[in-house]
Amino acid sequence: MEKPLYKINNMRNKISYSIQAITLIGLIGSCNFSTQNKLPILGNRVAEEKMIDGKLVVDTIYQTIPAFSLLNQDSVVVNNETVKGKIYVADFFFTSCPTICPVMKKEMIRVHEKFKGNNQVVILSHTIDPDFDTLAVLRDYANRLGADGKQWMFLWGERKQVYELAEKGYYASAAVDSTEPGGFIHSGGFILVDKQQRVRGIYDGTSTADVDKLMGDMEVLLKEE
Amino acid sequence: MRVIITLFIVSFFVACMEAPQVNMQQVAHGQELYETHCVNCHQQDGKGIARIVPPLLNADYIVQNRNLLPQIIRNGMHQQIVVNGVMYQQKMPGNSQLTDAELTALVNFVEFRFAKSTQLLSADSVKLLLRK
Repeated sequence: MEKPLYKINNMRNKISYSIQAITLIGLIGSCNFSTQNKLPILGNRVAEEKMIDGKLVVDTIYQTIPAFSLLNQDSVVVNNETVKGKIYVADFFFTSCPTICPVMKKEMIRVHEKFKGNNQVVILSHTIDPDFDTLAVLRDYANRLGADGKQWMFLWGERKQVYELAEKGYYASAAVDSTEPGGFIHSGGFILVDKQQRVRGIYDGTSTADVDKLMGDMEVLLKEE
Repeated sequence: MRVIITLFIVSFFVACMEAPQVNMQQVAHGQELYETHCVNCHQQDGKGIARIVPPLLNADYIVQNRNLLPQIIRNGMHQQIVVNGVMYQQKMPGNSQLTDAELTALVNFVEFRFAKSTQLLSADSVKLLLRK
């Protein structure tokens, strides 16, 4: 008589385990689901206390892209106003780069092709070699990549300004390094910025899989208010 | 059906016999070197990148400038060139670290894979071309 009882208990245990497992999978699934549909906001945040209608309200202030003013390949000023209310992808490169830039540009061509004509999407490629990459060089480079120069722009600015913007605004690195092929060292990231100029993701611009994820996240961001 | 099979087998043997001078071991070595040093710009498929990096695949420049290839890989390319009717002006960095034997393997891989050539260069002729 003991055996069947043991079997029943065993089965109850099994069912209970299954229910737990299913619940767990469900929970994990819902977590994944929510992260897929809401992108994180990167950078520092500060809580700010405000008085609204006589009540103390705590508001979270997120880090945004600092004020910048650069020239594009057609000598047009590009600043925070230019990208206001749009999402954009930023990267840092130089045209004579013999290492990772060609691959980054190949990947950026894919992003450009996918969102071509969408006036809510901008791509800003910043040169980190303003001496060699004159506006004429950038204009030719844009043309050769098939960029129209309005949606995908190539930006020029003083070295100091661009390097500071890279590090403080986009969490990217850019530096002169004579030991590196080409004379510069820089990160190969594609930085995704939302309509409120907050960084929402950093992707490896040399990885096809990462750039696929970027393009998916851009779709998510476009649906945000 | 039997005729087709016979033709297929015959053509297979003829194709093999036509290329006795291709050293596949060397081509494989060349492929490794290509994937280490060249693929970033010229790409796995040899199609290059937009109008920035010229293609190697079916490039008229390669057929017309065969003897320059070892020099170009070693010293780089700094002037404008026209490949299949398109002008390119991006500088190509040279690689002075590659030995004569490695250059031979690399050039032969490029010729074999992208120019469909079976007339490959010997190590001695590469040495001569580099001395020019």
